[in-house]
Amino acid sequence: MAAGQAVDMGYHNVYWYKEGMAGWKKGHNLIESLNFKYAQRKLPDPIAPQALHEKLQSDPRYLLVDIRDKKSRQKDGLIAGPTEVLPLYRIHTDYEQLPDDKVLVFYDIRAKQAPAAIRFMLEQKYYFTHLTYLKGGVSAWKKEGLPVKAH
Amino acid sequence: MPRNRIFSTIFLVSLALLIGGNLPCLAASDFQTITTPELKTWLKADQKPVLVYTLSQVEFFEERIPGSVCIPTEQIKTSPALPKNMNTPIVFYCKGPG
Repeated sequence: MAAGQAVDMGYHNVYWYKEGMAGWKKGHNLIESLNFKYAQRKLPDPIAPQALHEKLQSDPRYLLVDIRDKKSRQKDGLIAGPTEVLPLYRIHTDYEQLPDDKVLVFYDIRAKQAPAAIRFMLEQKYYFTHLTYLKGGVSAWKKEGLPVKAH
Repeated sequence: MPRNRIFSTIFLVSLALLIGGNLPCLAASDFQTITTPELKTWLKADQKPVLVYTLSQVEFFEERIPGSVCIPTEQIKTSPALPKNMNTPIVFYCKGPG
């Protein structure tokens, strides 16, 4: 956790605003947005775990893109199937490593961050029809007893 | 002094040193939590904290609390954006629950 790391680094006045963006918006406080226009973009439909499992068995165009951090990958493992690991904090610099001729299936822990990854990819002119994300993230995948591999 | 008492004294002194020696460590690894009204008031004050968003730049560009900087958790230890003065108050936040 960031606050813990700052304390370890020797900072003496460290605070954690646990309520975060959700709490800030709930109080109707002002927010700032540089990319407001694309933050409002329509998203492709997410794919359900079972449907994705079938696609990964039958359609070689499907490529998983794991956008989680290392800690989550170690904790929950990776979804079994062809995968590109690209943590979300690096996507704006490294997105070009993702092919544009595959169906990219972004996934995170609970599908809270994948939509932002998709909106960014749409902005980079990747095809709407070539982008989707896993409904419910890896948590939903595991809940349905679908296979994961160790990181 | 009976032998038992010597041993128990040594034991108690070691225990006190152990606990006492660890206490500053525990205190140092601590941070406080802050509520929405507290943060709102603080951000209007003259001596504002450094407000740090700990998720990705992609999400930061979509929405953030005004006046924040973005330092992903993975880059905290190497970021030049943290203050040089170790006494500067820093408030970290991300998406929050929900």
